[in-house]
Formats: sequence, C-alpha cells, structure tokens
Amino acid sequence: MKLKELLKPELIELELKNNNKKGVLQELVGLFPLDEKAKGILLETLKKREELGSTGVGKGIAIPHCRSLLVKDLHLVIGRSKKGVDFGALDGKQVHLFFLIVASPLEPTNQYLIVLGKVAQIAREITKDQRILEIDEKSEFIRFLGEVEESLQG
Amino acid sequence: MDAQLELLIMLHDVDHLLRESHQEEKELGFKMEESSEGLEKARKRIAKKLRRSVLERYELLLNRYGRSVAPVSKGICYGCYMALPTAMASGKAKNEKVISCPNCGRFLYWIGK
Ligand SMILES: [Zn+2]
Repeated sequence: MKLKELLKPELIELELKNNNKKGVLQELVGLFPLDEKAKGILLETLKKREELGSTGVGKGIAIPHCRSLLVKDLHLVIGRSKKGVDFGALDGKQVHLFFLIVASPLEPTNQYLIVLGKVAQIAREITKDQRILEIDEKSEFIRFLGEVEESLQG
Repeated sequence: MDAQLELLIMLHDVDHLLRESHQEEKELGFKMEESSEGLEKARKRIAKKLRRSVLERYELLLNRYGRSVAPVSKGICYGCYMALPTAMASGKAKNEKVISCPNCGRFLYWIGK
C-alpha cells in the first residue's frame, strides 16, 4: 500500500493549535470521519496507548497509533506544529510532526504494521532538513511526502 | 450509543493494546514502558462499570475467541462472517443496546464509516 493513497487534505492540519499532548491528540482525532462519541472513545484508546510508551520517536516526530473497533479502514491523519509540542518524546525534544495511524483490529493483511514501518522510515528521511516545516499548501505537503516515499523505494 | 456498548468497545481496544504491545516493540522498535500497570488499572476501571452479566460474557468470549466484540458492516458479523438475520441487520436499535450475534455470540458494533 502506498502512503499516497492515505494522504487526504481533509486529514491534514498544518497549523495545530494545541501545544500539549492531550490537546494535540484531541485535535488530530477531531479530523477523523467519526461521530463525536466515537471520537471520544478513540481519543481514550490513543491516550492509553501513550501510557505504554511515548510514540514520540525522536527528531521532532511522533507516530501515535492504535487499532480500534471504531474504524473500518486504515486512516492516516497528519498534524504539524511549527512551534512544537511537548509530547514526552524519547529524545526529550519538541515534536513538530504527528502521523496518527488508526486501523481496524480485523484488518487482515497487516497493512497497519507495514504502514507504521513505512511512516517511521519516511519520518527519518524528512527530518534530514527543514523543508517539511516550511511548506504552506496541503497539496504541496502531500506531493512532498509522495516524492519522499518514491525516493525510498528507488 | 448505548453506554454499556461504549464500555465494551473501550475494553476491547484496551485488551488489544495490551496484547499487541509486545509485537510493536519487537517488530517496530517502539519503546515500551516496563510496566503496563497503568493500563491494567484502566482496564479494571472500565470492567467495573459493566453489568456483571455483560462482563462475564465478555470474558467468556475473550477466552473462547480472543475477541469479544465484532464490528458489523453491510449486515455481516465480522466475528464469524455470517450474515445477520434481516430483521436485525436493518434494525433501528443499532448500537442503542447491547446485542449479540445469533451465530457466534460476540457483541456487535455497527460500524459507521
Ligand atoms: Zn457472529
């Protein structure tokens, strides 16, 4: 599965307003195509996942994720904060980019783990410079991530 | 959504987290805390709010199938992949009460999107 298939403008927020862990998770979950009740449950599960260990993997990137009964398909929601968020990252640094991944527990092909792995790989790549933080347009943002994905497959 | 069903979904997702954390660490390299005590406590808090009969059934199904709640989409129980009876599949009570699949017995959650 290509990341490109998961990248949708309505699931991207380039200017996150919150600057703490709870607020950012809430803001990201807010982008999901779910009703309010379901969003509340999903938020709880994500917060619990963070209790097992921060998904702030370092270098300004966090990859919050979980499986949830509430979704049918795999979803990728992306958020960016230029200022940075205190997310309890492993390297103690502020987090600027969030890749939130939620999959159904039934998802049979394990795309979830594949996508998680791929996002981690792309995250490492894009932190080599500042470009990802400077893009203003969602379409450009999507194009950029797509290019990075292509280059890694090369 | 029925409040008990809501708790069932939360419990299901927490159980999944507890089960999958090992795999995440091993296969994806996510660093995990040494103790999952906090989550175990959260699980207990959720379980306590469930009606006793519902919780007992949940645990029974968990032991039997490894998963106690199944999503329903297009009239099919995704626990056993059987079509639900028409009356149920088209029922208006979707997610407004705790319903079990007549075939496999799993609790049912009608998935939205
Ligand atoms: Zn069934």
